[in-house]
Amino acid sequence: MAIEYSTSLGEQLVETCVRENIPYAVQMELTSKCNLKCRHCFMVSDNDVELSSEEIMDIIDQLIDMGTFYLAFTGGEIFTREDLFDIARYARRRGFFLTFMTNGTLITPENMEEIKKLKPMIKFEISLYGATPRTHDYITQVEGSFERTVAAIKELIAHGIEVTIKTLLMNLNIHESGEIKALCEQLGAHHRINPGVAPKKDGSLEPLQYDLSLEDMEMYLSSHDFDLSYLLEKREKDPVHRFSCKAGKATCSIGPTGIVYPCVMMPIAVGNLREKSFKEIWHTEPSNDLKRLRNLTSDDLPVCSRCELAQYCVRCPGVVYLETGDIVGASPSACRYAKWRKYSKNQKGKGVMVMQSTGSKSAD
Amino acid sequence: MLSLDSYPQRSDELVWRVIDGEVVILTTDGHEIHTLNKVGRVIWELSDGTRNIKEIVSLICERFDVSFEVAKADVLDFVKQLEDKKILQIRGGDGDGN
Repeated sequence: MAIEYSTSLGEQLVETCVRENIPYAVQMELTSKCNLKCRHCFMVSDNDVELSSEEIMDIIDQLIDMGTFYLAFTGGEIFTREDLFDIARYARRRGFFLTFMTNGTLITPENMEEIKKLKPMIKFEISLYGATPRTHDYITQVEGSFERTVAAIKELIAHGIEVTIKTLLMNLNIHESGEIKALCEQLGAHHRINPGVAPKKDGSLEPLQYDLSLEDMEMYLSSHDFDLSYLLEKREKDPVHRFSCKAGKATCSIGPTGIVYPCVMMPIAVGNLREKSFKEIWHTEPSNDLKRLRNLTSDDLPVCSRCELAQYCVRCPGVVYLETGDIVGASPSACRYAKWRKYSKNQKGKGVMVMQSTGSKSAD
Repeated sequence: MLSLDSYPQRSDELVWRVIDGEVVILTTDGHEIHTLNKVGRVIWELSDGTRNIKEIVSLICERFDVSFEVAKADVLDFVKQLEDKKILQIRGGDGDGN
């Protein structure tokens, strides 16, 4: 009787999940309510009744059978839900890697005790938009939010909890990009830069007034080492799937009222968990939109597949859908960033890359 | 000391799922991934802390047409590997393995 035992199959596992449509990573938007009023936020308030604790726990049970390993709770602001820890404890007990995506301002000493009980299965992703109260609070429109967010980050790290600080770079805060990075290092947190302001989920382009211009990028980003060229290198090796991503195949998002989306950035409803099981929505009765998304290849993108900037492009299907309503069209923001990457590469002879916002919330 | 009286139990500091017919285990650092074949999957699924190794070996014999001695050696070896990796915890079993 042979027993096999092997290690380091990460990439192979992801490929299997994409091929077999196994949602190994799921984001659950627990609420659309938030205590901040971020200027760029792409969330749209939803007046429908949000999922109850019991409904969420039932979905969590379904996700185990679907093969989900990573479960991220996001919002809105997740700490506005009184039952957050009932849900999180349940998920911890059932066995998931958990991520709390939050602004951190509502973390109290009491719920820090609850957070500690979730170790070592819990990580945090916290949005920080400036290196100073002046900039951060201007963006969140809540005075004191910077101090509270930074205090939460310090407290979490002091308790041995991994924190990634996410910064959406905009024309409101790019002048502090270097200082934000330094602050993250000083705090002992990971740092993830997300340039690329997304339109609101209802299609409103209002947040785009804060997006970076080519001049902004040239002035501020070129001096920093934001080298994410590996993203492009991987795509170079696989031109057929250069413009595809895992959304709708191996990842998805579940909205506050139980609607399933391919990605939090792609508000194409593919099913309602109050009406069907996850398995029905995902496997046995996938919607036409979901089937189409899964079958997309570069050849289906009439403009992008022939674009001379393709090698510099990190096109996000969700963002292009938000921007234009056409999932196979060109993404104005991706085009702009691709132009800058080409320019930057030619200028420096090395790849100073900036990542298009892909699947990460811009406004937690 | 691992023995037939030992009760193996999966650690609760990992996530495991059945993917494409195989057990895939991710540990908390998110990097180690272990795939177990059909027999390994059964042993893993039986290791819930309620059965000792003797019971697990007996169930393996029933399902895979293998002798008790062969199954015992393989199960003990397998459980030891996973214990060393801290993805199985062992309770009880101070016997001599017979």
